[in-house]
Amino acid sequence: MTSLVQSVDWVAVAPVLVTALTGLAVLVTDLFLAPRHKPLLGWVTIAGLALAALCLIPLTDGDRATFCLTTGDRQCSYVADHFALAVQLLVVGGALLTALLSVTTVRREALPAGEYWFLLLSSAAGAALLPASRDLATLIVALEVASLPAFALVGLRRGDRGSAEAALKFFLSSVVATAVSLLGVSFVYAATGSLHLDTVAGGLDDVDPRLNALAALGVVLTLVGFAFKLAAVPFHFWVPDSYVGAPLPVAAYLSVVGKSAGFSGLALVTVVAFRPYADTWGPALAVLAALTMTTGNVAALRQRPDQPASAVRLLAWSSVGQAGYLLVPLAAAGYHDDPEEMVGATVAYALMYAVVNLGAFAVVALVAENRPGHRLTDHRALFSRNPLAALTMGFFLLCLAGLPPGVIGLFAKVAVFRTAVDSGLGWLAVVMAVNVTIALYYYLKWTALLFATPTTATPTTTPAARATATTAPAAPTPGTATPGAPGQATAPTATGSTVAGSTATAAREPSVPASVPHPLTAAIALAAALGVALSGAPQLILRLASGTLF
Amino acid sequence: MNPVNYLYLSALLFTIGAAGVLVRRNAIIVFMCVELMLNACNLAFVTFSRIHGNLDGQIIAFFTMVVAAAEVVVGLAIILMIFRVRHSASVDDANLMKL
Amino acid sequence: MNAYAPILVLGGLAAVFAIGSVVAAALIGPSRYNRAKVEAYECGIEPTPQAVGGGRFPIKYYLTAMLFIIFDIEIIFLYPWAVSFDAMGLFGLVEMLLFALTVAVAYAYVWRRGGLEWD
Repeated sequence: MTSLVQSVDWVAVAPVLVTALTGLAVLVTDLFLAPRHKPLLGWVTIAGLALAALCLIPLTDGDRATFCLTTGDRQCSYVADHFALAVQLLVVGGALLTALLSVTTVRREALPAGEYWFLLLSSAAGAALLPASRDLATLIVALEVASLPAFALVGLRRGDRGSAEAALKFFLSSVVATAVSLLGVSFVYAATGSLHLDTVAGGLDDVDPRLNALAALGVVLTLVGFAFKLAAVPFHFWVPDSYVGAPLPVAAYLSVVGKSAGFSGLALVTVVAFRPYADTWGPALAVLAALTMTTGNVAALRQRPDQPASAVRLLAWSSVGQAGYLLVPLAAAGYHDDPEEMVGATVAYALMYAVVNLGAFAVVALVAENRPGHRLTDHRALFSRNPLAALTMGFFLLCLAGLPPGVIGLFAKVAVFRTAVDSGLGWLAVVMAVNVTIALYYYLKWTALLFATPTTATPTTTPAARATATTAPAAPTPGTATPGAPGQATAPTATGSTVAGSTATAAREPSVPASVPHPLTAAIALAAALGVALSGAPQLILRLASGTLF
Repeated sequence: MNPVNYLYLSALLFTIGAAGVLVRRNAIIVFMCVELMLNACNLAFVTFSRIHGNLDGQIIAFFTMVVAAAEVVVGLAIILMIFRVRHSASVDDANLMKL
Repeated sequence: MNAYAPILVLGGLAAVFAIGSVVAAALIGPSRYNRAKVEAYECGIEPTPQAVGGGRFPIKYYLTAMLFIIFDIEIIFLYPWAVSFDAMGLFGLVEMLLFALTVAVAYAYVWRRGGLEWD
């Protein structure tokens, strides 16, 4: 009798393991640490994530697999192929940038340090495990490991009503999605008798005709849980509330790492496991993609720039729209002869999106250092206050929009677009083109806001503008309490038109921002450097889009 | 006993759970309904495992139970936090985030 | 049927011990009446016609329940190991110890954060 003991390739699982163990270490250290040393934990986290990223290097051949069955067809539960590595790089890198963003947030909002870093690392470990898992049980567990700490992270602000309610909404809808997903998995298991993705694919190839409907239903239901994490419409409604209710770095984390968990899970179950049912999930994902990008972009369009947290809300809705683009290649995979090639475009797009979206969140955090309202109007004339931040933000927004000089955004969009055209999904390509155009509007409007000229003189303020400015709720702008006309110290609540608002723009804003925390600067610099590097050499990312990853 | 009966029971439990999630307003009850759905899945897994004669279904049932327990704990913690702030566990009262 | 014989023997022994203990206690032990003896045994609350506090009970129970669930469910992973520990050998033992260690971390956390203190 062969031994049932599976061998464990510790090097292959190292990226996940290092992340998880760092989390445990941080949690235990926190228990015995004097409060004044707590900031150290953040740096331990960052070091751990960097180490986890380094652990990816020995795996670059992409041929490692572990937790394999010792009998039968030797299916493996954990495979470190190129797809897994690319997504793990995204997850670990995203978590690293989030950690840099969080260092100041944890201190300022007095979040419990040990718990915060532990939850962040646990969630990252789950998200890193997900792309490497090759059986449905591991997939579901990884999905939950990625999500459960995220609920707690959203609700971590103690005594804050919005935070708690956002967490409850996120949590309840997510667990329902998981339950539905599990029901789908049970149907698939009923039809195929296996949980390993490859065996499931083999089993679905010749399903008992009587079980055909059951298998198809199982396939569709399984997608729900992952589509939820990706925030695909109609599973998106938790997004704006959770992002606004959560601490800002957590929102950034959800928008990047949470999404990567969703799309990598979707890619695995559709392209690897459910390939024989491509005619079922292909159209489903195509419709989902079209709905998602349209809903996200239209809702982003409707954000009013003067509302509290409008910047975060806009980023939230734009992330829903971006999720739609992520879905396009996956849907295309359902129509294409070589579905694995399509997945590359999604991964490439996700990498681009991760870098620039985290960058955008970092700049929003930077602006919130002086004006904590997270309003879009707080970004007005950022260029005159902090030219570097404004330039990087403009770059990030243009990348998200897909315009030069955000070359990488453009290339990634073209790669995604091409998959739709190649696989004969003309209508989806058209929908995407329309959506990219819609998105241009709000991204460019925001960019224009950054570079709006601050007018210097009070006399130019029209009586009407002064009236709006005085009656409207003032944006909290510490450090601007200079005596003068009340209308000039408050950032004007824009009345829709940028031009009208700019006449009364905060002339007395401090021209140099108060000391900006270094980790935040580091995060922005890192994201900007990555974005520029990728724009200079887009072939780095596009190689992903052309080769097969599995 | 015919294993199909267990499937009927599982389907019934899942339906009750899903209906409860949609209809009930108390967060704790909604939450119990989610647990019902998860356990219905477990029952289905174990039944299918029996039908197929392999253990995969039982293994995933174990993991589902653990996932469900972890969900209970996180969920209860969130509900407790809301209760501390608002003294109500109704989902409808959680309306601060409405647009 | 033979396979069940040890179970029957075990059941018999258990019954003998249980009945023997009760009978022996009644025969040998002193029987003096006092109030404490009619109260709910060890734990629990005196039953009342209406629920105390309108059926609400302290939030602290939830915390205890949550901790209980966590540690209770961990045991689930011991079952497969217990059933096949001879096939898994030393590897299985080491893995289970690592698992128990992880649970111990959770325990240490709860303990240090005061989750085990009732008041």
